[in-house]
Formats: sequence, C-alpha cells, structure tokens
Amino acid sequence: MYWSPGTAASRSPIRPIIFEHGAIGGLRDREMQTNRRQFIARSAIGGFGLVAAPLLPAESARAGASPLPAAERQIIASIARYYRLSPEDGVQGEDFSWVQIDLGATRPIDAIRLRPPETSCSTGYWSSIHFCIDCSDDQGFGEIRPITNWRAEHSAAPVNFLAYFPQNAVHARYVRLSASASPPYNGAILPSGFGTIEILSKGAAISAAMRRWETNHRRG
Amino acid sequence: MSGSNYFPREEYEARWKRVWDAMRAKGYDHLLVWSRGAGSYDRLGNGLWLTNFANNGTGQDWADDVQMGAWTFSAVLFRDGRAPELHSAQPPQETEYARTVCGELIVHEPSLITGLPEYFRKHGIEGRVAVVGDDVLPGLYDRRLRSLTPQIEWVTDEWFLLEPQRVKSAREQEAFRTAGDITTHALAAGMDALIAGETSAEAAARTAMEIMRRGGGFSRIDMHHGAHAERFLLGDMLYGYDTSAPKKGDMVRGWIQGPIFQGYWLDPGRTAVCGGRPTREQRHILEGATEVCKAIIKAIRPGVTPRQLGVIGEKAAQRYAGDGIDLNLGIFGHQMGTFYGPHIIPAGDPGALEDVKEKQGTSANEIMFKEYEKIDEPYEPGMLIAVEAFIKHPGVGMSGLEDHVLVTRDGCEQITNTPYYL
Repeated sequence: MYWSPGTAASRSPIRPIIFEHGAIGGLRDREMQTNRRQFIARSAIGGFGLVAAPLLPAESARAGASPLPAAERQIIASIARYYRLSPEDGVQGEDFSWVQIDLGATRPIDAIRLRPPETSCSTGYWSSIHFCIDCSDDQGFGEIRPITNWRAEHSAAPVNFLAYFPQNAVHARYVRLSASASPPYNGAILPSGFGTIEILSKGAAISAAMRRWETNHRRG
Repeated sequence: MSGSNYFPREEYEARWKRVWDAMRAKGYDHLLVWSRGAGSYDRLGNGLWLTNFANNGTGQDWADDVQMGAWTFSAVLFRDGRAPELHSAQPPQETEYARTVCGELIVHEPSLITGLPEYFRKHGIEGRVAVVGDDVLPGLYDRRLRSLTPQIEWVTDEWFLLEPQRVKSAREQEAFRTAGDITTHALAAGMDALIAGETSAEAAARTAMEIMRRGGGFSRIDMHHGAHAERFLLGDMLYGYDTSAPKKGDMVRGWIQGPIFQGYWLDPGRTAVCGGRPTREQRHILEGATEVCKAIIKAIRPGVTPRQLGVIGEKAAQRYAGDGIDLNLGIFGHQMGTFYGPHIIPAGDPGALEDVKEKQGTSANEIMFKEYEKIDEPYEPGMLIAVEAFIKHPGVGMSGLEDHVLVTRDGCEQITNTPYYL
C-alpha cells in the first residue's frame, strides 16, 4: 500500500511511502519519475547551494505534490546501530546509527529527502542529534565524500529534511546516512526516525525503504 | 544466583596494566581480543580474564551470512591507554552487564562484524591493530570485517596474552587451588568407579557430579578402559565415555579437561587397573608415569627452566625403558591459564633452539618451534604448570598421569592430589 499525500486519516504530519519489507536480499528499487522542481516542491524548499532544511507538513498546499508513479524497483536498506553503556549503572552514552544504500551503480545524486515512518513519531525526545550524509563508490567507505551534516537540536527525528545540490550533482553508488545522539538520549535514533530515503537522480526519485533488523536473539 | 564477582575490580585493573605494558613492549597502539560464547569455550577465557564477560550463547546457532549477527562472539578493545571496551552483540536484556568489568560496553545491533568497522571509522582507529583470536572468528565473519576495514592493518598475535597471564595473582592462585580441589575429588570419584568395574558413562557421571556440586564446570570428561585405552589417549571420540564396562584386570584411565573454576583450565588424569590388582607389567608402567611426574614436580622451583625439567623427566623415564615399552616422550608438561598454555616442558633436551627451528618443515614429525621458545626461561613464583607423562606397553596398556602445581617462593605446591593407583 502506498501513501497518497493528504490522506485525512494520517496522524503523522508527513506520511511515508510504505514498502513491503518481505523481500530480504531481493532489491526491488522503486524509481519515481519526477524532476527536481517537483522533488523540491514537495518539500517547499528552494535556494542555492547545498541546502539542508526541514520540510513542510504534508497537509501544506505547497507540499502537495502529485502521487508518485508505480514502483519499478525497490531498495531496502538495513539500519545498524551501536551504543555505549556504562557497565556499572547502565547509563547510556554515545548512540550511533547508520544506514547504507546501494544504488546498484554509480549515479548522479541531485537531492536527498528523508521521510519518517508512518507509525513511529519520535516526539518526546529532546536531545540534539547530529546527522551526516556521505557517499562513496567504495562499499567499505574507505573513500568518503561528505554530502552534508546538520544538527537537529530538539527532536530525535528530522522528520522532514531535504539536502540538494543545484550546482553539481554528486556521483556515487553508495549513500550512507548516520546519526549520533548525545547523552542523556536514551532511545533508538534512525529506527524511529526514518521510513524512507528518497534520492533524486537524473529526473528519477529512487526510494529506499528502511528496515531495522530484529535485535539479536538466541537462535540456538 | 550470586550477584557478585569472584574477583574485585582492582584485579582486572592490574591485568589491564599488564596488557598495556605488553602492548607498549611490542609497539601496539590497539589490541582486539576475540572470544566466543560459554557454550563453546572458544578462547572464552581471554574475554573472561579481561572483562568477566561470558556470552551466554551455545555457539551452535547457524551461521548468519545475511546480517552477520555473530552474536555469540565478543571482542575486547584496548586503545589509547584507557580501560578496555567490551564490544558485544548480545542484547542487554539477556546479559548481566552489571557484572562485566570494563571501561565501557558497546552494544552492536544487529552485527558486531559490521558494527566494529563503523566504530573504528568514527573513532579514528586506523593502522596496526593487534588481534588475538584469529583462531576463533570464522572466515565468514573475518572476511567481511577485513573488507570493511581497509584502513586497518590486522596483526595476528595469538600468543600475545600469554605473557600478561603468565604469573598468576594471589587471587588467581586461590582460584586455581579451588579448581585443583574440585578435580582432586572428581577424578578420584571417576577412577573409583572404573576400578569397581562400573561403566565409563557411570564413571564420567560420578566425576561430573563432583565437579558440578562444587560449583565447577568442564568441557570434557574422558573415561575409558581396555584395548581402547591402550590405543587412544582419550575416550570415546564424541563424548569421552560410553556405556561399556571394564573387566577386572583391564587398565582404566580417566581425564578431566575444562574451565574447572572461574574459567581456569585444568586437565588432570590418572590410570589404574580395574579390580585394583595390577600385574607386574601393568605396575611397571603405572609406576613409570608416576615417577616421571613426581621427579619433575620435586624439581620445580623458581629459577628452574623447562629444559632442565625435561632432562630430569627423561632420566626418570629411562629407568622404565624396556623391550617393547614406548616411553612416549612427547612433552612432560605445559603452562596453564584460562586454557592450555603452549609453552612446554620438553621430553628431554631438544638441543639448541636454532636446531629445533630448523627442523620445522623438514620432517613428518614436525616440531612447533614456538612451543620451545620459553624452555630456557626460568620459572617464577605464581606460575601454574601442568606435569604429565605417558608410557605404553603394547598388550599391557598405556599409563598416563597429569597433575598441576603452582610455583611458590621455595618450590611448588601441588594443587591436584588425586591418589596414585599403583
């Protein structure tokens, strides 16, 4: 089932595109034909240079881009995380999450949009979080090209965020988003913060659905 | 369930200091030590020794080639002179993390294998990283880890921790005494059963009961008899025992191996005769193995070297040489810690170390040179030494015996005291 902007039943200000998560290992990218104007219009953000700014709620007229075409391919990316604990008192320190997206080939990247998941709204966390987006053609990110970084001061989830590149598109195969929270934050970051990442590439909006693995558990 | 640790924190801090000293001596800035879960005991002792952490997994769950979960593995990271970090993928709700002793605990979700590279990158860890436990981490995970850490030069140093672990602290010595006491009773119980003609399985069960009722643990109990015990050093290849019973006059042998107490490893063994009435030939080899061990133990004191002990043992063994008797001069012992220490007591004088080294790769009976590296290094108080001997007489049987001693200021203290069955 896919989101249609402006659905009245939505309780979340921005509703995500929901993908089936069953296709583990089988990438079915979802390319949505759009241009940068439309892509940006859905965020109501304009300007020059690298921009990282909050988007408007879906209910906003300026955010009401038309529904996207049907999927052709879908990317599912897995979120990973580590966090530090004090063994004595269990107090949590650094909390770092990341997700890496494989676009399948080196492609131009004109803009990136982050969307929250439908069912999770990370309100109530009041900790600054540092977000970074990097890209690389190396799966191991031995060579890193930073795209942007920013701090969300008052929310665990940058529920509406757009970074775009009007001058020269970045070219890369791998995109990685990472987020680190400062203590005393005590909760998951990316897992509750994102449902999809959309990447505008040469007129096509490629959506990557975020999947969070189950926490490790006993299997034997 | 006890909520307190056997060792206080200062015990671990002293260990960390020894590790840092050893790192400095070798020029390492970073050290990573892998361990696997308590169910497998794969180098579990190293992680336990450093942080009091034991992953509670069986270690027998299936390989995870999708998300690289590897959750039964853990790694201890030393860096920047700070208290070591324990990296684990075991969920906090399943873990007594409050009992771990470390600087910080880093929990990875879902994968330690893909998480560590990210952690290294974020914290600027690059260049040489010494690693202990390359023999623990499976290739599946190791290949991925290495592919994700191009900035790291992994330096395998499997024996690195042996030096910091070599001399046992006063508290560790006490733990070993407890372990010795446990095995003394347990092995006696098993041997009594075999001598009485009970099955190998029954003997193993009696042994296990004595270990477990005293709060100890083991990885394997070998109880066997007769022709099998003459041909093979240890018992049934799968379990170490079966439901067969010895006949009167059969030689019987029992061996215990494992992390007997607080993860400290012992492996004592005894040989006897079912019915308790050995023949003259049987008594000859029973006495032979016993006298070799006694002679070596009598000579152990600070300053003595493994080479010297090897000569003493060989001399004692030669008194039991005879037609058809195989003195089976492999080694006469080794160091012990949280698992078998590889530094041996040679069976006799192996000659110049250079000659030993040259023998590598030149014969089918190849010598592992590194085992000999310390044979001229004098023992110090606090070291834990295993002393062992085997003598085989075809058609009569194989006699084996092993005991453990702590080196003291003026001699040694035998901590395994199961009777000799002569």
